[in-house]
Amino acid sequence: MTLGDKVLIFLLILINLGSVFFLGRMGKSKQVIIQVDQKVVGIYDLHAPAARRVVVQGPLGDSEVEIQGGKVRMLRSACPGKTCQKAGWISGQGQIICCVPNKVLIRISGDESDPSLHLDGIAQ
Amino acid sequence: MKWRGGEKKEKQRAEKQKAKRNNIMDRSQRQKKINRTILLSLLSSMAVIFFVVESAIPNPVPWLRLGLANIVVMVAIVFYGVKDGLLVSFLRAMAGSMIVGTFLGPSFWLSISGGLASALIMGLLYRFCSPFFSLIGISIVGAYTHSLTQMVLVFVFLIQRREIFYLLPVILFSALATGFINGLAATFLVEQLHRVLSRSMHAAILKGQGMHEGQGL
Amino acid sequence: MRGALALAFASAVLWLIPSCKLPFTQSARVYQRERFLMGTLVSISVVSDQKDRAMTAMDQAFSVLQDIENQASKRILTSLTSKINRAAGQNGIPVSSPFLEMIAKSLECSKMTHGAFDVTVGPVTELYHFEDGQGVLPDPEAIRQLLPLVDYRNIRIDKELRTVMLTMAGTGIDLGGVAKGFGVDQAVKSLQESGLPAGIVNAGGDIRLFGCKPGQKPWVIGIQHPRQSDKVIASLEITDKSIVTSGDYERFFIQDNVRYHHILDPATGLPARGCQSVTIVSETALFGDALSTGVFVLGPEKGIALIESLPGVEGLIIDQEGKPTVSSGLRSSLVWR
Repeated sequence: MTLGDKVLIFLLILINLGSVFFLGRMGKSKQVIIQVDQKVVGIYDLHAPAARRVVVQGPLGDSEVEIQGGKVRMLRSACPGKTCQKAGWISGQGQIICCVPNKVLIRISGDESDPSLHLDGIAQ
Repeated sequence: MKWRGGEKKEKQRAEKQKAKRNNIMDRSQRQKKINRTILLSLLSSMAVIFFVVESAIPNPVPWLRLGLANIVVMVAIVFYGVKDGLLVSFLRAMAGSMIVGTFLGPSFWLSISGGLASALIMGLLYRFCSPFFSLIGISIVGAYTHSLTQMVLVFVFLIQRREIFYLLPVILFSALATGFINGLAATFLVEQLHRVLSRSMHAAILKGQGMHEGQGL
Repeated sequence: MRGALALAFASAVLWLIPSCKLPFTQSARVYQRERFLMGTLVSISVVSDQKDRAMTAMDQAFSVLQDIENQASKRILTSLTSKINRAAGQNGIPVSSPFLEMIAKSLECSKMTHGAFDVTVGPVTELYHFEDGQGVLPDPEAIRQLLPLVDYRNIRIDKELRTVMLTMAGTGIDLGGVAKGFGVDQAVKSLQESGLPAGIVNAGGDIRLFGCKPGQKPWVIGIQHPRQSDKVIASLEITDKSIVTSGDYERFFIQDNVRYHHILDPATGLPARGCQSVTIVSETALFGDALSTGVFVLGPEKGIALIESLPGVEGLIIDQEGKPTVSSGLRSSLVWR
């Protein structure tokens, strides 16, 4: 074994341990997927430490999405009914807020490590 | 005219000698070529055997393997370079999968692409970083390349689910272990083969032009 | 020797590695697509081992839904619904056979619920302006004037000529929910005809599923909590059924501490009291949609009696106080959250 080998092995062990750490984080992460009429316009970390406001452009105008402390809501929407704003915060995997008139869809994905929480649909 | 004729004769003699020397050169060249063919085919068949035997062993995770065939690929790289390493790897995947019965199936594509990628990387590493990394380091990098290539392909083409990356630590640590072990084995094999080959080469040189095809390795 | 030892060591290591299992051989997976259709978000999930096959089948199902929307939406001026409403009291309108089927099925449901479910309540619902913005409490006089027009018996269908006619001028039909349910049924039919083994069509909570998830697991469907928008009240594993919920939380406004929602009692023209939500598990989404509305209007007692009397139909009623009533066939399979 040369010095190069030893350095290589050392680095790879670090990387391997790093992958364990990384996956531990990945399991917990939930993502907020924002779509406008079938097109994904943004994917954000639901648990991002800083609050975040995202403005997306729908056919009727701007919709503002707020992501904060592991939950997400439609803060402001250009639609007439404002049903999406009334829906309030969502935080669970698979939950959605949709603004039908402005064709904006906010969805929480990820966290599929726990299948007991997974729902294939919600009758509402 | 006379001196001219003498010159001509001289020239003819020189040419004859040259031809004779060429002939000897040709022969030893041909011999080398034959040696190479024989060694490569032996290596390939070894790789295939490793592959088939390994396939018979049930493994806990689908694309987790000892990768013994990589030992042989490394030997080919050490003796003949990148191209032949790729060749052995290619033949291993083709013949091996035909024997196992996965030819052209998904696991065939995984094994051939993983094999070729790792052979390529190992070959390039051996050529350009050889004194810095020994065969052990090269083998470890090869094992990583092999596993990661397959994993990415599985993710892109077979199961597009992020969950497969939960296997990453398992795959990476086992790549480190198998790579290390295969590297040791390859070092050992290369040493032995060098000894055998140099002995037979030595014999061939002693025997000179009288050597027949097929003698020695 | 060193090599052999090393190999033995390596195999030992590999055997000790935790045996994580993956459904590797099973390449069938769930594909999902959403579209904004029928005034709601329609999501289709299918199980397939080929991506393009799944995509083609889903596109086809979406176009089926689009067709139904074009025929049934009263917002589209050229739709059959608009034509029928315009010709009310005058003449019958020739319709397509799926449309006729849809009307016939909703009439059946109206009979079954003795008019608690009624597609002719549309003109009264419009007085509340749920669609555009805040919603307003209509003048009781306006409701009183429109009420005589609300009667499903004013719909005449002629199966021979395939025509639909409203016998009284001023009557209007609003197929909203029924069209959604019917669309879901037709979309499922289309997916099945494409040869897919399993899937879900979910039109804004009107859900119908067929087959099983990869790994022969049943689909798991949650039921929306009527008062907490980010919670499901219960979940259940079902397959080859439809599940539809009608709730007072879908479209509503609150005035003087009273919740005015979109499920109107056809007898009074006022929002039906007695329930927060009704979930129906049945064969078809059309039936589920109509029945959940009907049961909502009937109220918990009459509602659960009706559900129990119908074969192959199960239900969950959350009453005004938030107390759940579950039909006998659903008690064992419902998981409370």
